[in-house]
Amino acid sequence: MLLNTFAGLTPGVFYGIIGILLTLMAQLTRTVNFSQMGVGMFGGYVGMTMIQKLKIDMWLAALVGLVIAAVLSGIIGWIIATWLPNAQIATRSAVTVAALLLIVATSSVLFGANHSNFKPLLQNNVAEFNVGDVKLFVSQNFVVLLVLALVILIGSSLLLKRTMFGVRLRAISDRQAAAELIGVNVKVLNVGVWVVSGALISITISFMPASISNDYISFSLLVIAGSAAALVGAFKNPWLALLGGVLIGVLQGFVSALPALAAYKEWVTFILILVFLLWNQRKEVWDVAR
Amino acid sequence: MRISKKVLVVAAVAGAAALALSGCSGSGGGGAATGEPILVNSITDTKAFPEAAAVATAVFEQYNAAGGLNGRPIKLKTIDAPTGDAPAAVNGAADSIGDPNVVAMVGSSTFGECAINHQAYIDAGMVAFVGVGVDTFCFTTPNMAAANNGPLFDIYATAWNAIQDGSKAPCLVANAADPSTKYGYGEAVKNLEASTGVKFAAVEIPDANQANDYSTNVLTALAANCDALVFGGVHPTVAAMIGTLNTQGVKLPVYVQTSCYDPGFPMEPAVQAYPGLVSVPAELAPSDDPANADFQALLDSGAVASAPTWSYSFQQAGYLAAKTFIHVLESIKGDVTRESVAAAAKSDAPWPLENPMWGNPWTFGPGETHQANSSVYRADIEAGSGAWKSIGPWVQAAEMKWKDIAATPAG
Amino acid sequence: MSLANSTKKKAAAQSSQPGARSFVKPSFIHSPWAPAILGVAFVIVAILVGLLLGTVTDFGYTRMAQILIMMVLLLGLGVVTGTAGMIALCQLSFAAAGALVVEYMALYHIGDYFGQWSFFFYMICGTLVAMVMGLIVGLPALRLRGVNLAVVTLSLAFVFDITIVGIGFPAQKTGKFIDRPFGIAGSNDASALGATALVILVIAAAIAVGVVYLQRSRWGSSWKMVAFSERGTASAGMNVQVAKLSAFIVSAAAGGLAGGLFEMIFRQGVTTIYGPYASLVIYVLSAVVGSYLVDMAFFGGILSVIIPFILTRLSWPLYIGDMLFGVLGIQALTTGSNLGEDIRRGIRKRGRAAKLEAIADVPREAIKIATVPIPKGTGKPLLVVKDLGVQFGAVSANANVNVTVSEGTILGLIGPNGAGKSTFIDAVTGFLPHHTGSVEIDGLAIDKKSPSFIARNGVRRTYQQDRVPSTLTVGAYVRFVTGGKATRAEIDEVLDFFECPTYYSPLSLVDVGTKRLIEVAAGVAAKPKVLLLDEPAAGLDHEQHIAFGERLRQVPTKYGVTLLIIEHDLDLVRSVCSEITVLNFGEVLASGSQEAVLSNPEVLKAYMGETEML
Repeated sequence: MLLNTFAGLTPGVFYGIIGILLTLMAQLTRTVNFSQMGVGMFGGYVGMTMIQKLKIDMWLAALVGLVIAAVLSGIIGWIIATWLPNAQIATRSAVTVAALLLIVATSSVLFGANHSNFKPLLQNNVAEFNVGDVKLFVSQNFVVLLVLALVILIGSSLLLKRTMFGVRLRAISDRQAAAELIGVNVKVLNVGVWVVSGALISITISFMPASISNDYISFSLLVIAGSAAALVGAFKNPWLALLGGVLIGVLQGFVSALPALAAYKEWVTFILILVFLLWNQRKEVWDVAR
Repeated sequence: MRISKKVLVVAAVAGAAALALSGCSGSGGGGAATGEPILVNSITDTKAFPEAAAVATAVFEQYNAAGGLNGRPIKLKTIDAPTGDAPAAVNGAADSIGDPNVVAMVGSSTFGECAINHQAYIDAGMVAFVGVGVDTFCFTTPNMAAANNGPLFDIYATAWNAIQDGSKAPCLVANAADPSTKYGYGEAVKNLEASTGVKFAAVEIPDANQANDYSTNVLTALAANCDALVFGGVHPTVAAMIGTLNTQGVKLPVYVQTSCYDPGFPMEPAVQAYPGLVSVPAELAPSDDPANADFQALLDSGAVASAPTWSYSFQQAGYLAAKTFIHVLESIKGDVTRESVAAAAKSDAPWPLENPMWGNPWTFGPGETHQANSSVYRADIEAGSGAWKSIGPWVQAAEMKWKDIAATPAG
Repeated sequence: MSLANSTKKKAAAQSSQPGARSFVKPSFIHSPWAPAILGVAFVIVAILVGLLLGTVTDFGYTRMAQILIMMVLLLGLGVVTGTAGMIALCQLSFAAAGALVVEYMALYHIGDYFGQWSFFFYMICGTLVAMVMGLIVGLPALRLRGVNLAVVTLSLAFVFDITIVGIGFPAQKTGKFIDRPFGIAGSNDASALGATALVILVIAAAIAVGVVYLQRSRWGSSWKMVAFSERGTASAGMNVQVAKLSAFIVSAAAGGLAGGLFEMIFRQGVTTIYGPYASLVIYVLSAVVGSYLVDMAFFGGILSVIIPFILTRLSWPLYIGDMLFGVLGIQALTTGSNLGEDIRRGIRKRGRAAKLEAIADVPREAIKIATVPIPKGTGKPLLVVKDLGVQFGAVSANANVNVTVSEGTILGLIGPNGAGKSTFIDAVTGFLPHHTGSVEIDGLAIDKKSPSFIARNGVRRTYQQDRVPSTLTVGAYVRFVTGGKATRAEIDEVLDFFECPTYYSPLSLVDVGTKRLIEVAAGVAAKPKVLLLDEPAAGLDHEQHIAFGERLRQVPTKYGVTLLIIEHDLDLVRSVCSEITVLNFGEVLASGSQEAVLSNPEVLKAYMGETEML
């Protein structure tokens, strides 16, 4: 039980980062990006195909994947920023559902039967320790992902609160028209956020847990786990999104070790998140303030 | 897009192959076959298993170039049926059955087409020479026989190898693609426990989950103190399971299914980093076996626009399915129709078919069920070697005390 | 503006400009029998086309059946996403539930009571289970909106799929096939498939007709209302929760039925076709075609079957079809349009002259604005508000507000901006449940009650903001607000009285000013005891104000509706109100007869410079 629970930490942080990025995107670009993992996956497959066909270095492939993901993400962001500059968050997010479909279908057609998994850049353990007679391992992935999560959280927080650039970023999401009036190029900033988000998700995938395997659909639908994590913070608080991700990973690990509940581990987490969310949103009785 | 390009390449290479091979094989002799084509269809998940249908197409092109069946070429049409798109599979079968000129199904490879269509083929009196069959019905239907040995036989053989290596408390973690396979895995474990007297320390047969992450099942199994791990699933899934072992510092021997027997698997970073033994019971002759000479020649001719990531054994299966169909075709005296092909396949006359790529003589015949391929050949990965090493020898079903598993659970 | 236009138009002897506003004459399509008749016609045409296609081409009856099943799925999804405006990404989970129940019952002969009709009993059971699921999925929708809801429904599709895979379809597991209804035998035999497709055709057509009737009913109006404004829905006496849940339940029912129909044609369930990816595909398809429109749902069904059909013939990967849907989906969702609306707009533009009639073409009585005096009422206290207080954090928006509206009168509630007038209405109509003090209508205590309860018990309101959804017709909107209690004749009469567009005019062609007028008309038609009007004449010019005032003065006696009106234009207030209450900084500054209040120096002081001439 301890083993399972502890092992849930790495996927938990992974879901957490997806959740953090979704939350930041929701805050800065008013879009819940359902195509986020799809974008990262597409970049990953391009990188992997280059490893297989051109025998390029793994790190170079990761870089290629990053660029592809950033560009693809930027294109989706540009489409939304161009045609739906003032639309509601739900409308903007719906576009990314269609984008996800396009990415999954295109990957299936382009990359076809590729039975290999993405090459994780790191896969060794950094530490091991005993709790009772259970030996627990800390993987490099876990450390890197955790650091990455904290860097994104603290970095974005510092950037948004302490710098002029951050003020502009916040302005484009809160008061877009006002930001335009004072001469902020809303569209460029918006697309910039998308590009950075695409790059970050690509980096995250490069350090993903060894337990995740490739498949166009299931991999791009990992965004569901990430968005469940983001729900804990109601797409507003990225720290809670990280906490949500860790909770999902750890809870699922814990529940999977209970024979009676193991088959329902997804339900347990889903219901807990839902209950928390409903409690968190208990004041949102009406659709508009007045 | 990929497919059409492939077809172009096949066509181009077939032309070259026609020059090189003319007169070497086929009963027509002389030039390329130009007569009325004999139509066969393949229902294939072109995303998961494009290999078998692609190779079968190349085999027929080669055969046609050499004159075909008395001047009649064989034309294979591949119908895409992605996993999860049951309507596509049903429509594919209905179209095939609805076209009276389609005489048989050859090289079909999907996760679940046999289950949903087997009754339709029985009703239509059409036989299927399955390429890569996954669900149980590919092996338990009178009208179907597969070139591969199927996941049930395969998981049995995989675990049998573990027990042969001296495991007293093996653990099984197998992701089952469909409910009948899940049921079959459970039966295979029971049969193996009965035939060997070894008790499994843990048996985890998780359903496919959306994240494709079975690490919790692996950890649950590890907690039962296994002395060997038997993993079921396709290449990416099993590689990820081994990845989980790496994070837990485990060194136990790992036994994987034949669906992992491709050149890419030993090069998966997780597998390369794994400090223990990894072993597979290959369902067809290992890649370095001279039995593959003809098949390898076909691949080397470039007639198949294969990708480096394609599974070797799935390609072999397509080759054998096509060869089997040609064998049946050539045994027919008189008209080639759906009925005559079915009658010939289900008669005793053409069988067994010997091909050294199989470890046993292959038989379609009148049986109600067909475990036609019922032998395995062991291959191992020595820790960190990045390559499969053929170990052998061929092991037969009888030797492993294999008992056919009915598709239907009791009740 | 609107009023002026129509008055001018009347003055101009109904001659020129059909104008932007529509006065649509009733036509066949509006008749209550139209959907049923069209449904039957559809079945007949479909049979003929089906026979032709089935014999001449290799399209096959299975594909025809799939078109119809997809139509049912899309129609159901259209109710939640298109009509009620919620993003739901779990439509195939409902279908899975329906299919699972049908397969289980059919395979093990559970509930085998109706012989050859038993299959339909299974479908009803499956649909009921799906509806319960819809109810459960809808529950979070009571608090969650937009993307939060989308994520929850998608997560639900995800966990439900895992569960369905775990349970497995019993027929798939055992390799058996269930029996079709009426003993239709054979799996791929053309006559059996044709017969099955025919049964599916009749059921699917019945479902489509049923959905159209629902869309036209008060339920359908409530979905469109709730998509546009939850507050507006509640003020019309409709429980928002009920509206949302009913949308989910109807959607789930269609999903469950579609699952049953899948079973009828395939005779065996396959877990993977009901996964979350499939739900995403169908959501995008629904957005592309606009599947809340029945013909477009049918078209969506055709697309979803014909594209794979063509790809198969070309031997191309089927994922190219999903690529196409992805591109079309991005296009549709970014432009906020869909094929259905585009096509309708095209037709409307072409047929505008025929469709939009000038006001004169609609027979109506001459509009008589008799000049009546300011109503004096019966003197009976009707709406009694005592010591009302509302706190927003540290800010006191209303404090110790005492207002009594006498039966049959028009009370004016005036005060500078930010005086707490709208807060007062919000509190009285139940939108601020944490207010203090008491509110009674005709002796019934209504404080702490829900807005819909208050609306149903005789206190209605209108809004400063636009709360009239463009997706309805004028008549459907008024009928919805009246709770279906007003007769058609009564509705037409009220619309005429307020010079509104006619019953069948789509609100999408009506300007904002006219919408406000329609909102007032609807409120009056609902015959509440008291109607609270929040700046009903904002945006009207002076002349129009007078005409509007003339009408308002008649309302208490003509319709038996007592009015409370918030208004900045004191001319209008003067012309209609016998009593006036003045709010300032959330407190009552003055209250009493018109003359007394308007001559009160305190009022003058508070108002000086705040608003126009006193």
